[in-house]
Amino acid sequence: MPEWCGEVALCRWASLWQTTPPNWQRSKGRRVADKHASSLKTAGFLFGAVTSNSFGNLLLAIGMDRMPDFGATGLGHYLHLLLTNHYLIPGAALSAAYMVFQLSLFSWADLSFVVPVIASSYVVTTVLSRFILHENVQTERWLGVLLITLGVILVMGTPPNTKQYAQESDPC
Amino acid sequence: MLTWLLILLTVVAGSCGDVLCAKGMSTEGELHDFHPSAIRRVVRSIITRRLVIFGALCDAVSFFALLGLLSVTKLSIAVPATALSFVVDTLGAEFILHEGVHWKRWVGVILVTAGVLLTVQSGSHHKPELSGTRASTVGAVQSNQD
Repeated sequence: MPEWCGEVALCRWASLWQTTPPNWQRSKGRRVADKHASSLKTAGFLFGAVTSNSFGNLLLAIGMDRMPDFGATGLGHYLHLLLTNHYLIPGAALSAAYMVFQLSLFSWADLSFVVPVIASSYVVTTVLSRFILHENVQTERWLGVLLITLGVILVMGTPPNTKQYAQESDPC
Repeated sequence: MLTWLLILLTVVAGSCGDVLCAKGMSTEGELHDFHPSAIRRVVRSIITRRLVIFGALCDAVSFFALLGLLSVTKLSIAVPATALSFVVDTLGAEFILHEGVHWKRWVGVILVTAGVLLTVQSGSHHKPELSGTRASTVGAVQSNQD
């Protein structure tokens, strides 16, 4: 009998006083399903954060490009132009959505996981710049995109929540 | 000297903002209900967390420090310097949030930082005028502009 069996038995007796069952009491299938759902939720929110950040910045950039110079017009007229600009309002809304996605991710995923993965918005923005705005993208930038992609792949290879992962790995 | 102080303020305030937001969001439990009818409740739940409010204030300080930095130095120095926030964020995650950062994450963060430096540097040679917020926003806006 392995050494940790005694500890597991103790944990099982102690857990009888808990109102919610610990991880080991749930069936293996249920745990796999929960993990799958959690991964899907994380992936969905990361996708939402990256796309809302990239498209939000794209719309803000297009909108600001169509604005006159700040000093060239009166403050009232400038504000009117800002509020009636068809690109700035959706751009600001997407930026707000990005904040909600990022803060929601922080409620279950690690900071050291979320921040580098969201940096993939640089990749999306570069692709949008090249293929939607038809900008000339230099070789150095593509090299940067490659490095970011490799970094994001490495970070995504780790569990999103290390504390939860450590608890699930613990037999108790 | 002022440039270094502003770089330090931009990076540290921005990372403090991220760490405070992450702490505020993680200590009060995972958000579960994201049904469209519950969005208002989710937003209210986020903006009433004290640490998140402090985090947003730190982000605001970082934003104004970046604007100040852009007024005293070249874009090609100011913007890449903010890419350091990825490394400082990870240090905060390791030593303040005790996340137990895996070596793969460290390598990933260094690759991402190097990639962002390359991306932003190659763009900054073209158009020196820029205003933006955090490193990600700055880089994204920058890449849209050049």
